[in-house]
Amino acid sequence: MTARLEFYGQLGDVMGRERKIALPAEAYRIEDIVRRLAHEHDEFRDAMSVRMRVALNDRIVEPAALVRDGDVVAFLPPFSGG
Amino acid sequence: MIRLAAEPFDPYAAIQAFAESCAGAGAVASFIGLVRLTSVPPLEKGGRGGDQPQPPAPAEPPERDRVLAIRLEHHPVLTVEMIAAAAGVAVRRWSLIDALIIHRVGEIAVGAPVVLVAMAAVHRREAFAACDHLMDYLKTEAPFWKKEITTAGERWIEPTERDYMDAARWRAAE
Repeated sequence: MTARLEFYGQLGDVMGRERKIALPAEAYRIEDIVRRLAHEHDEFRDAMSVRMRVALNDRIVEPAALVRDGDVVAFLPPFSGG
Repeated sequence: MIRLAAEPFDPYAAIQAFAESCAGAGAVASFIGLVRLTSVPPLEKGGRGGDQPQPPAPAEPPERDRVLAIRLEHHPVLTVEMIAAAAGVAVRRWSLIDALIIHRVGEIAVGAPVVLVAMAAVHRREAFAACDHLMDYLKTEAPFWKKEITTAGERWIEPTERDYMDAARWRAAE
């Protein structure tokens, strides 16, 4: 069971644009991945923002959303267009 | 129409074509955003930054502040989808005849157009308001990530508190 992680903006600079993670057998949520990345990667924790949003399979979701085998999880730092 | 442009575009020709296509419009309001020469001040801890009072910018900024270009990253699916949804909301809210949004992605030179928003309505108030609203949306709510490339290096740009306050005005008015 794996999920593909994508990192945009400043998060892509520190984490690379893409990586895979193994998912545990039990229910695993977006917030669990965020906690794990922040624990394992100081650079992710430092670059994270309270305004960060997360998309699951191209839909912005809440932290409690469940992640399943083959899902794509995108980490989106604060938006800055215009 | 929503379009992400990987290459430079002509906003003036686009406005003309848009206005000519909007039968029944009494007003077309448009906004063109350009890449500024001067860098915005970095965000400080506590979240305040570019909206703080600044000394007047000199006509010729010092070499270290000179912006060469910006680089805009986007999401392959969400960016167009979310802008289209916001434009749809604006069309209904202000009874627009049509909406045009063209946004550059990739590397954009100083002085070049980054964004065009044009809104067509029967009367001017609706066109002005929708244009203002969409620009506030694009600044803080659309999935773009902006990196400034300056003579002093590269850095990611986040919206200012002022940008967030501007966007919040529309939610308060709903």
